[in-house]
Amino acid sequence: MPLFGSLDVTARGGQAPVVASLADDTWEAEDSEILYLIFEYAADAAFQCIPPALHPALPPFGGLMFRHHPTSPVGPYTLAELRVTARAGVHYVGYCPGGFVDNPDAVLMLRDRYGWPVQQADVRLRRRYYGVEGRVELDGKTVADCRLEKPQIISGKDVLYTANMHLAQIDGRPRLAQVEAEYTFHRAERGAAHVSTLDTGAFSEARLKPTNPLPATMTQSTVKYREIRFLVEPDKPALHNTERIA
Amino acid sequence: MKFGIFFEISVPRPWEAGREKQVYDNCLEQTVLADELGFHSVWAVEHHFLEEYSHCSAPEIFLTACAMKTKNLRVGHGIAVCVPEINHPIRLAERAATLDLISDGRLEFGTGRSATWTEIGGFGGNPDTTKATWDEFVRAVPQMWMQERYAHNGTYFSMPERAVLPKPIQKPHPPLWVAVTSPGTELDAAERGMGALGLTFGDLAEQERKVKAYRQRLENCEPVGAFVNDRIASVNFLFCHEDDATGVETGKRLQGTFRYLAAQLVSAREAYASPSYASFGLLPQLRRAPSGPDDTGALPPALCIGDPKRIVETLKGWESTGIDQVNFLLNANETVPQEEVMASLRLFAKEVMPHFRDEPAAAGEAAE
Repeated sequence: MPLFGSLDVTARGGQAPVVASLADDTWEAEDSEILYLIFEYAADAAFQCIPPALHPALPPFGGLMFRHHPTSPVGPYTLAELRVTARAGVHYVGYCPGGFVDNPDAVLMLRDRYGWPVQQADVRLRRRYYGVEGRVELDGKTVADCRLEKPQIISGKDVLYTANMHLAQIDGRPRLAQVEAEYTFHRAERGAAHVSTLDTGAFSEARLKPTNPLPATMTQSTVKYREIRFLVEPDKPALHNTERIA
Repeated sequence: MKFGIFFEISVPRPWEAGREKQVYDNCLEQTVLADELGFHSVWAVEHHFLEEYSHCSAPEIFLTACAMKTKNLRVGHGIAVCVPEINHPIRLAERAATLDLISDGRLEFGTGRSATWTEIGGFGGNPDTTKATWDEFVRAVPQMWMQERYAHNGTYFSMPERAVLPKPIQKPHPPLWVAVTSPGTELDAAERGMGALGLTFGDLAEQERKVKAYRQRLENCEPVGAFVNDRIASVNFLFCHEDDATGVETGKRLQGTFRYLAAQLVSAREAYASPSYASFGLLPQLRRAPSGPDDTGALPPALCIGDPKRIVETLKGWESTGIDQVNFLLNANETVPQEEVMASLRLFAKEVMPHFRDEPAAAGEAAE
């Protein structure tokens, strides 16, 4: 049997977002921009950062993802999240230990409806002459500063985004909410990734140590967020402990 | 139609002392039995770093042991990875030729380029160029075998004139194959006059389309070797039991275990955005996205599991697609006890194999 994560979900669950009303509808964001910097993680620590419901990818990898949505039910927002790629059964997912959003209304929406473990901070995603820059400043301190350089056009078909998995308090106990989205790509680029600053502790998981960087991608797409369809018991294998709610 | 056995050599955790050796011993025992029962070939993959899924990183050594313990089975690289960071083409040619000598001319040389970031990234390879390196290697290796001395000035490797030794016993050289996982690779095989070593569990209609396209493209091929290997092989699971329900149940467990292990791998496409990897690669039929974490996905069609009658009917369907050979995965993570695997092989040989004609060697098989 493959390896499982070993995160203490009871302890971590106490700090998780409390979901007031699970998302039961869809919404769409046109002209969204997504910057994804991918890197491998040191293995042993990465195994400790995902819940026992999930299998780690081998090698463990994930990354820093910036999502800018010009429109949403609560207005425009830009999000930055740390991700650890994992497997829920045979399903590819990205476990998110923490992230930041620049719009306070979006913070509420994402925590209350999706269990997205985000806080408010200054999050920026900007095109520069050399490529794309992503930056997060928390209380005046830079906790993430990264770039995609020398972008080259690729096909959207070459890009793969997986569903998010969030540890949240749902119905009074820790559970994993799977957040799914569909992407219609209008433009995709790939380039070299440069991470100047990444304080993984600020993203609630100081144990994660990025190691081997892979090419980064930047896309423009229409993103359609779905209703929450699956809840998973965080401390048991997802294959046999998933509740379908929609 | 011919039948082969195909090894990934998957080793379940915990990897206590003796576990890997036991799995290797089991595989060798199955190989010896397959030889005695009249199977055509044994194939072994080349994989690196794929925990539990495949501990077969030195297939030429395993296949040498197979060759030494058998008399008739052809021994197949399924496949040798043609990526310079993983294998230098000279070393591929040398090792394969040695295996052909040791096996007394029974080598089938399968080639490929890897489909996982785990492997390509582990060696510092570039996913963007693996197709090109494969193409350069498969044109060079047969020349290394056929020419007394060979020189190469290429894009991904170069060498001054040297005698690449030893030379294979099969003349002009062993049959050449390419692993077919991504859609369209069967056409790459046909264009180069190579056999198509199918590693997906496509349905019969899809297989029939592939065979037709392959045969059509083959008519205008430019062989990379000295002759055309016009054979098409497919892969399947095998668990044969007198009781159909038991056979199906065990076979489902076998394929389910395999699917679960395959899903844990990091495909090149998942981690590294590249036009070079349009599909997930490794057995994509088994890796179709399930609808949720509790879903293992649909059971692939036309699996060779169940009682002999059911398996004969299934294989008649495969035969009708025009393929020449089916290679069987016999186990995954040792989920089927060794004695049951052996009994399955015996029953298959006794009750199923007689239903399939055994034609003379295919045109692609080199004469000694």
